[in-house]
Amino acid sequence: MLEIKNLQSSINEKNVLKGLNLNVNPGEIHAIMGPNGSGKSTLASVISGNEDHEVINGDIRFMGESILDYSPEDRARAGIFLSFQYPVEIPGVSVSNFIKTSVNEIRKSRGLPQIKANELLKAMREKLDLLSMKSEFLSRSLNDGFSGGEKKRNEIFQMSMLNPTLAILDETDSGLDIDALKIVANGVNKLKSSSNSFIIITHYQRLLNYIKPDFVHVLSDGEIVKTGGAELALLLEENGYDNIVD
Amino acid sequence: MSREKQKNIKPINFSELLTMAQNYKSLILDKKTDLYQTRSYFIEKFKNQISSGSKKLYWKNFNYNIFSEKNKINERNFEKNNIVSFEKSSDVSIVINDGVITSDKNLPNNIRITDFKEISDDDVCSYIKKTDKLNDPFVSVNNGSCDCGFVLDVKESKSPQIIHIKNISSKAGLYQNRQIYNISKNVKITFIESFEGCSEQFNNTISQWEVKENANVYKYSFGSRAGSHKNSQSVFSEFVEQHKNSTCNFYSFYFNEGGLGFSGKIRNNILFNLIGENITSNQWSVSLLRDECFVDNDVRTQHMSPNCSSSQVYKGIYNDRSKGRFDSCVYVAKDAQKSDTVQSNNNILLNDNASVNSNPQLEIFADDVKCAHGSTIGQIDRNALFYLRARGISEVLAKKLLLTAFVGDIVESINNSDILNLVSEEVEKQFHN
Ligand SMILES: Nc1ncnc2c1ncn2[C@@H]1O[C@H](COP(=O)(O)OP(=O)(O)OP(=O)(O)O)[C@@H](O)[C@H]1O
Ligand SMILES: [Mg+2]
Repeated sequence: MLEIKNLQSSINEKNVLKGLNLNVNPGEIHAIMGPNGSGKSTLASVISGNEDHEVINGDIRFMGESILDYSPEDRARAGIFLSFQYPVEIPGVSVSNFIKTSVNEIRKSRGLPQIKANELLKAMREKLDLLSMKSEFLSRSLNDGFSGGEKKRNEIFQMSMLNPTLAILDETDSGLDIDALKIVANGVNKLKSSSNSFIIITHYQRLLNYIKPDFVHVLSDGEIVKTGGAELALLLEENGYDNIVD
Repeated sequence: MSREKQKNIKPINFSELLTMAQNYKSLILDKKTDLYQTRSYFIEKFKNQISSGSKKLYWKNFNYNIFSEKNKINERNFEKNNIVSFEKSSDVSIVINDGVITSDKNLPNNIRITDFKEISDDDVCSYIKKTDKLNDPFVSVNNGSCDCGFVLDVKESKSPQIIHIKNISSKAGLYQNRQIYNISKNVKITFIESFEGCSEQFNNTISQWEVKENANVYKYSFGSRAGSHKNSQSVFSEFVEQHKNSTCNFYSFYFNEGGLGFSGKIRNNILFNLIGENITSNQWSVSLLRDECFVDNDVRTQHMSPNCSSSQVYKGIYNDRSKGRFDSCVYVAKDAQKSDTVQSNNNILLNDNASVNSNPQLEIFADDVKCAHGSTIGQIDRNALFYLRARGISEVLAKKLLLTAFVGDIVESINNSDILNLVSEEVEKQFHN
């Protein structure tokens, strides 16, 4: 589903990704761990098409097609979703208006008619329930004044509304209390199927107790330096990155 | 800002303006009357003001050549089909056609409108003398020669009222207007002002408001008094005197697109004088500009008594080569303790050639006051834009969402749902690419 070959990127003349390779097949869950500043969020941004980053070499293929020339919106419409490490606060745009616009833009790109207002509301209520979120959320300004945990839940709420083929979760577990963590994990597990895939960026193996990864990768200085199974996360938690990174 | 001089400005020629003003004076036959003396005094004052002073003064940057006869044929009808109707949102409308009141039939009993030509010389004198302190040639020339407009008296009524004042004007060249609003005690009223017409007009209007004790006035104003021609120019001087316990909420919307759109150049000289206690005085302004349009706001708010609150919330989004200015001063007199004031000016520039000048100032002589002021000039937030696009929203639509949200707080503050909906719809039309 996702093939990344020799990906090299730079931002503000700083090289960040330095020849990264990654293959994600349908139905797989990949965890990416690694020290601060190693390039995890950069990888997520580059896959989603953030134009602040320049791709200087390599290729990203999604569903068999190179997506390097795709705009961020086209990637989202193709089924890529990024749960932001730092969701952006947008005063004046309500959560419901945002979701409605997003759902309809994606539907339009697939030749589908606009979703009916009551249908959308029903779907939103259902997902909110699943994530133990109050429906007042819908009328609030997007992420504006949300607590750290609320922002992360809101990302998962959007993910469950958009039903992506590939979801990248960038530290969605950071700042979550234990209950919220379970709720988020539950949201992921609900969406999981043989045709959907996840890339989960995290610093803690805690989340991986609830979402079992098929692969764990260690990203260091812009490259994947080690790949293993779920047990690698436990090992890292015990010993840190020192033994792996050089 | 304004690094390059506008090329199309020709040398300034005030002579036409002066001749017009003097012609008016000569119509008053009895030279001994107080009115003749007062008019003469203001025309002399105008002559001195217009020709002296630094080149930076705003009146040195207008184009006066449109007064010459050959330009006056350059008129064009406003496309009637996109004019916005306020019928649903107002109780009654007053139509002013080239300065003449043409429709005032259904006015409620508590409201009276009188043509400026029909009021007594003594009243004319007393209205124009009230603005003597102002050092502005356009105020002086209006004082010296203006002969059209109205006096609107509003007395208390059982329920709040909404009046639409529809100004239609196709006159090219100089058009001077005087609008006097006398709002009595306890009145609750909303005004909607709209302007239709498309000619090379130079509009010089003075509005004088007296808002008495405990009165509550909302005003929603759309576009330029000079109409929608791209060479139209409007100088608008608005003087508002508020008495104790009164409330004013004045909104101005400057759109370039849609049925309420204008084009051209606007200068607003706004003065609020809060002379009693417990006054609330709020101004809101939204400029969504394109092309070469310019909205230049000069605002002064004077707190003369304790326990008053005032705010100026001005927002602007500037595309193409459009320009904005916010020059605002809040004055708090020594006795005006517990004054609560807010000056806020936020701007987004969508184009490298657009510019804005923001200058909030305070003159405070009381010690127990709360005075907030701030201004920002920026671009569309790149991170927000990426966030929206990463959810499948096209760049164009994402920008539209963000820009609409930027002025959303002002729009949402409108407490009349019909007007709010109408404004939201018009805002939507501004960001099509
Ligand atoms: N706008 C920028 N300008 C310059 N350098 C940047 C910019 N954005 C990111 N970087 C640099 O790129 C490197 C990778 O950053 P990235 O955010 O991808 O790290 P990360 O692995 O996600 O770290 P963390 O675990 O702290 O979230 C860092 O050295 C960072 O300083
Ligand atoms: Mg990161």
